[in-house]
Amino acid sequence: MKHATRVLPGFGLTLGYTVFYLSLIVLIPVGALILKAVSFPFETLWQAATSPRAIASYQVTFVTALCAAIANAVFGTLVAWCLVRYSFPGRSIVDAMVDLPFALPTAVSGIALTAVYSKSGWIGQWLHPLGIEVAFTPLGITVALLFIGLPFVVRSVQPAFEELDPAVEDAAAILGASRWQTVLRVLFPQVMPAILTGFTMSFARGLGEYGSVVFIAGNMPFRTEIASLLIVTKLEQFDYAGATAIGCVLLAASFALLLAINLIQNRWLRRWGGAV
Amino acid sequence: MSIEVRHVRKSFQNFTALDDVSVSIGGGELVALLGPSGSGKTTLLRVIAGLEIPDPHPDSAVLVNGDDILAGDLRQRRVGFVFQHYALFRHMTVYDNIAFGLTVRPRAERPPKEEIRERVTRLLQLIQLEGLANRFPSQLSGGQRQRVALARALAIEPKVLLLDEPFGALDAKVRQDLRRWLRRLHDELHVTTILVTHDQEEALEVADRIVLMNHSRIVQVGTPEDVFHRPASQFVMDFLGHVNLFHGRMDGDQFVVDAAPGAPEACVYARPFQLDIHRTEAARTTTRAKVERILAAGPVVKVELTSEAGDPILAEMTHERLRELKLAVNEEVYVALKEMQIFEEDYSI
Amino acid sequence: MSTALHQGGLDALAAQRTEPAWLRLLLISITLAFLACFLGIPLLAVFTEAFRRGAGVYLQSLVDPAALAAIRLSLFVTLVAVPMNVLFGLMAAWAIARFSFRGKSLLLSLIDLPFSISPVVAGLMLVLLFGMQGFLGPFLSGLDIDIIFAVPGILLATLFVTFPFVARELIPLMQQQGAEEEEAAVLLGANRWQLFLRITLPNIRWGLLYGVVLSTARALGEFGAVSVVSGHIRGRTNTIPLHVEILYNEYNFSAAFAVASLLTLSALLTILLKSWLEWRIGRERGASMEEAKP
Repeated sequence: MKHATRVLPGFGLTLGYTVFYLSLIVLIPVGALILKAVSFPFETLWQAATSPRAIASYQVTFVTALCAAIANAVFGTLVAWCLVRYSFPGRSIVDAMVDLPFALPTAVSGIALTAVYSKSGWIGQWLHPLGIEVAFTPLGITVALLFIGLPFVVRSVQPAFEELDPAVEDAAAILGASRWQTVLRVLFPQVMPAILTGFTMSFARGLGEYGSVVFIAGNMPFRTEIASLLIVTKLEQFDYAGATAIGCVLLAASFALLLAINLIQNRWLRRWGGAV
Repeated sequence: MSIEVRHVRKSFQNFTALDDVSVSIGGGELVALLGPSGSGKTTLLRVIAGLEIPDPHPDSAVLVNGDDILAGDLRQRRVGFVFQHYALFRHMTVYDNIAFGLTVRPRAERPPKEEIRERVTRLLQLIQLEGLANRFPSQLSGGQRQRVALARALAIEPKVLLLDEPFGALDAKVRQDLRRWLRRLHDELHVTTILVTHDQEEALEVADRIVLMNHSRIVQVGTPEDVFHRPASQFVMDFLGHVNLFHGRMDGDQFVVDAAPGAPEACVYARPFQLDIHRTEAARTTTRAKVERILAAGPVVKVELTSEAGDPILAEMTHERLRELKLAVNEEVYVALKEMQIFEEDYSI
Repeated sequence: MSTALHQGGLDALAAQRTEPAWLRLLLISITLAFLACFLGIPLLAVFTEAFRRGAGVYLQSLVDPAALAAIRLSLFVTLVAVPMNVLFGLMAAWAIARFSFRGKSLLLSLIDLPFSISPVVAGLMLVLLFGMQGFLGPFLSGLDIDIIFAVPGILLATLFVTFPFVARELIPLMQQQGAEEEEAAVLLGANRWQLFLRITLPNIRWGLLYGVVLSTARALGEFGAVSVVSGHIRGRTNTIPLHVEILYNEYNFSAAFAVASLLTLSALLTILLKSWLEWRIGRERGASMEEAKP
């Protein structure tokens, strides 16, 4: 076990530095946002936060992030399943490439996706005749968020699949379950917390994403303007109350999601008494 | 070097690990701290090592050779400690592990390279791992790692050697061998040694004296013979091996099962080898019983019985005695006490 | 005959334990097609777009003074931010993984906080703190110190978004390894430098490097938070990603993708290093697990 002991030196120094640096880099800025919000009259803030343009931006942000997170939950689980269960040529390369959205700067992702999905792009040119426009529509935002959020689901579900005890599947098969029943009734309930965690993280990331979205979104107010972009716009117009109000809404949303992730994990932890 | 622990208390959040513990250990002794898990024995060992500070209290002190261990610098104290899971430095070879305590000394006190090499080589001979100096810990078996951990602790020529469940993670055969080896080593080096274990057999076999702990307190201190034959309480009796329990009354100095009411109540503990089985009622007969099972595969025969009251009884006898009695399953026999431990006042388990 | 029967039973069981071949093939195909559309093709697109107007234009875009200034600034910010994260990560991991104290779980959540805050909001916070309309702005401008729309702001934004990376790698690693090796070293007489350099550091080196790789990638590539505080002053406060944005918005696509291809190469290098480190760490964990077994 990990004992906390007096024989190891440096407790005061390291904890002191940790708290000091945390305050300097993170807590003071967060505090500044909250203090600034409090310093405005509530009426001003409320109006800024609920102006029609702001509401529209929340809707765009929320809907596209939700769609992307749902698509990621489905495809990310599929990707994780194939990576864990099947062997095919190039699997380890595919496995490594799943991290690309983590490693690639968001601005690069943004321009690359725009190039591929615009009317004349490699994929866009095939979708255009079908009447599907991706770039500069909410669908484009969803595509960008799909790209950004994919690794969250895969990297959350993959270990869950890896940790499944093969004996459980064997037991189900011996008890006469068909493969379909085994997958649906034995395997999926076990990885559900991981899928939900990945879904929530992907959703949370989608709500706050900026770099990859601004290029592909087209940024038309009321149609393809996301909340973080609106903050930038407000700042450029020196509308600090507006920026602060929308910033607080986004901050509250990310806190709520953080709480949700903890709740999901605690619930399953309690139920199964093990690591999820 | 003697060790003296006076009135030590240690609590973690809302759990008391040591409750007013005092014990003194003479120089050159090998003492076993024995008790069930959670009895506080590892905490006591860690307090003696200086790894835990006891709760502040005016009476409490931990003295090694008369010096208060809580006062000085831990690094000057020369305590050899062997961790339960060895805590070998995984990125260092066996040689570097053993030499570590010498190479970290301040330049002025550090022995020259040649001397370090000599000492490590001697220790490698002592633990019989001369050929493995350049192996890494992950390339060793459990028993080998245990010996390296011991050599590493001995390299600094410790005044006291503290071992936390040193054989806990090893399989039965290796345990046996290492136990005897440790005893021989101790007889050679005479370093005051404390060993924590939850295995009563290990404690009885290896130690000069045994300190028995239960519920954060010391319940008995004595030689292996003392604690085995003259247990101070039912807990000690029970912990040191299988016991049979009989309820009854004292009739004078005779113990009778279900004697006339009014006599002081008592209960009797008897180990399986302290019971005799007879075909007919004999002196010191305790109860009639039915034979349930006879286990004759082993150095002694074990007989499982059920008493008239319905309690299980386990008796041991020699193979000759079994042939003499011609026992069979389901037979009614008489169980007599050859020796016993009577606990009059307190018989709650 | 009984063998044949037995074999038949086994086949049936095996069929129940995995999917039919056609389904496997279908699932793998969907996966690969999906990943190709969303990862592979965009990745290729970066390089094709970058070379669309030839290698000459590509090279020229990279040696453009504004591009070089952006590269210099990004490298400078990364070279300052990453060591600060390493120092913080080591301190935090030591305090949290080696001692128990009140409020530890709160501290852990606070360390994770920057992960869940939108980068734009992080930038906004810095503007509200240090900008002219912010709390400290007037005071700082009195001292003639520029933070917002200057290099210190970019550095602070980068520090904010990369804050948890090293600590998050080290804390679980050190908790899993436990304190016993370090306790043993102290009992054998090691002082605090010997303890750190000879026991702790060798044990956590791969995890530390992993954290360094992740935080370097993020520091080089951060866009949202830096964009808010930078002011986009060409040659002065433009990092590489901001330079890409400016070129792109000026419809100078080839140059934008040329500079972006640099970042893409560094991302691919990151992935390579990450895979290698995961393999190393996995091997070392395996070995330490082996050691804990009887």
